[in-house]
Amino acid sequence: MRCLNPRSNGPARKEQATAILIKRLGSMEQKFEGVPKAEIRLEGRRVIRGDVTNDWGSRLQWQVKRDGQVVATPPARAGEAYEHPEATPGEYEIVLEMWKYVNYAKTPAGEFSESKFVEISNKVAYKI
Amino acid sequence: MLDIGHEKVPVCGGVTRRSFLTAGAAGLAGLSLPTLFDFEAAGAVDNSKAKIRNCITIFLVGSPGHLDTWDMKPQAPDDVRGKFRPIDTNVPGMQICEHFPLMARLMDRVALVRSLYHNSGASHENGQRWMMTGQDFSPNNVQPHSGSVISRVFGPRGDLPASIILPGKIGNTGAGPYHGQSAAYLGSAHEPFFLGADPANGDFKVANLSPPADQAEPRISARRNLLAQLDGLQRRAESKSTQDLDASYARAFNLLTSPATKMAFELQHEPDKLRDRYGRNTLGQSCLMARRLIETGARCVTVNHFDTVFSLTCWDMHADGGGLNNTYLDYERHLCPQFDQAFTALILDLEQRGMLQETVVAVLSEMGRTPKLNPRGGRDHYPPAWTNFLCGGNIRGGQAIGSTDKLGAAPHDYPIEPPRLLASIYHGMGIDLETTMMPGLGGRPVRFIDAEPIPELF
Repeated sequence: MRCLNPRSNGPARKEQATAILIKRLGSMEQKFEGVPKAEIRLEGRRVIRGDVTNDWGSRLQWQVKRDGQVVATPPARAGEAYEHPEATPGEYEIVLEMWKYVNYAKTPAGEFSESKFVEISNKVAYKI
Repeated sequence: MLDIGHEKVPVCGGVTRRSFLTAGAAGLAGLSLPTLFDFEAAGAVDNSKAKIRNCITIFLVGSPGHLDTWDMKPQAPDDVRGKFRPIDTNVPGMQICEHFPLMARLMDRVALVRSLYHNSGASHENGQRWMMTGQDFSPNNVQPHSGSVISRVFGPRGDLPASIILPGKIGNTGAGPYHGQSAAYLGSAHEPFFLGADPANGDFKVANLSPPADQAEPRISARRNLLAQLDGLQRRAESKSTQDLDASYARAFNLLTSPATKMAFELQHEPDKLRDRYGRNTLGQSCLMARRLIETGARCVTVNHFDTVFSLTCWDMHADGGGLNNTYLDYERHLCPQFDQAFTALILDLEQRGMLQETVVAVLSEMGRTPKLNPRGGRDHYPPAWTNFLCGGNIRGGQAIGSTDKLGAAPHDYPIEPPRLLASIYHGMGIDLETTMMPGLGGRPVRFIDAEPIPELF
């Protein structure tokens, strides 16, 4: 049996003990399998998505880029269509992306270090 | 004499308002049916008043913050209102978190209870015991899970156990093993069946339903017959615990050999489009399985959303930078979308199948979270106020019962203790809470649940 570090402080010791216990008993940390997929199409400046297959159920969002830079990431779950309101001239590109959970590890700044958004659709583009 | 639990309940002289129940002893196959009939005969259960036949509980282990989900305070100071904005719903004047857009379209079916509170300790386990059994308890006085109570009163309906818990047992949530999800003194015959596997996994199978390769069904049947013959030789020494064990064996054999019960656990029979609609994750697929199990005869299915709060994304938003480092990002990207997807898929699926009118879906959690954000931008445990909700059956949706003060720190009006939610479910199932008794400490009969239903729910 792994021994706890007798020099560790109370909270760290408790967390270490907990980690040992979880490893022994097992935790039902879910693993996301397969790859979500969706088709999107453009009607004017309005982008429309189809159903998502192999849907992980996590955050679904549009990624909107202008001239290669991300300018908006509005949610895409509630509606199948989205029209970006901005009319600043440029080359616009839109893709659907979904949050892929790997684990909940985060950087010191608080952002996820391994989990991330992944693209799940084709890309569409228009120019203003 | 019928034993409720292991204690014999004496019969008062005559039928009084607080009448006790009796029944003849039953054999192996019929142990539960006479129990329900006797409850009905004694007036403890009135089927004509029972609008709720089934119960699905989604238990949000870890506890979402009420101010970030279903009781938002957009006018509160920055360090109270949090990062999320409220959105309108299809109920005028009712708002919920922006990250539940699908649920916002269904709030006419949902009754929010916004003024829940309890005065026990602020551990997850205190809240688990309250919400799962209707009371907090010590190791010397373990109380039965509501599903076990329903199993005891109504018995199984077909070959499936009456009470099933998905996907598995609650494990370590920080303060001991008593999570309120056992049959306690009701005995092993009413122990919930724990799935013990993740239905979202591609290679999912219920290990306990797959006999070893060398145990073909004829061998299983032969062993069952041998067991029955041995039991017959021991009937003179039969005790309550033996009867419980007989019922447990019967349940186990039925699970192993019944094609219908096995199929209830097989999600591959569902269309891919529906599985996607629920979400290909543990919560979503567990909710889909809960619907299948209710359809096949289970009476009460509990879905534990998470089995621990340590080192994984869950509702326990301490933001502590260590093993409890859930933050707003976890809520926004993972938890809220998954819940929104799974809950609304379940409600709409039940509704389309004509099952919602007889099935209550209860979304419960252990407590709220601190109104004031902690220094790391998270929220900590907070039993003095939180929101849970019910949907389906004869629950009157489109309302919020009770409210909290401007900061979400305490009930502002109509404070409600947790057992009233279970009392409401039992009441909806036709159980007369005034006349149905259970053995308490020292064998003294006590009320079935020490709480009144919430009348505004009906």
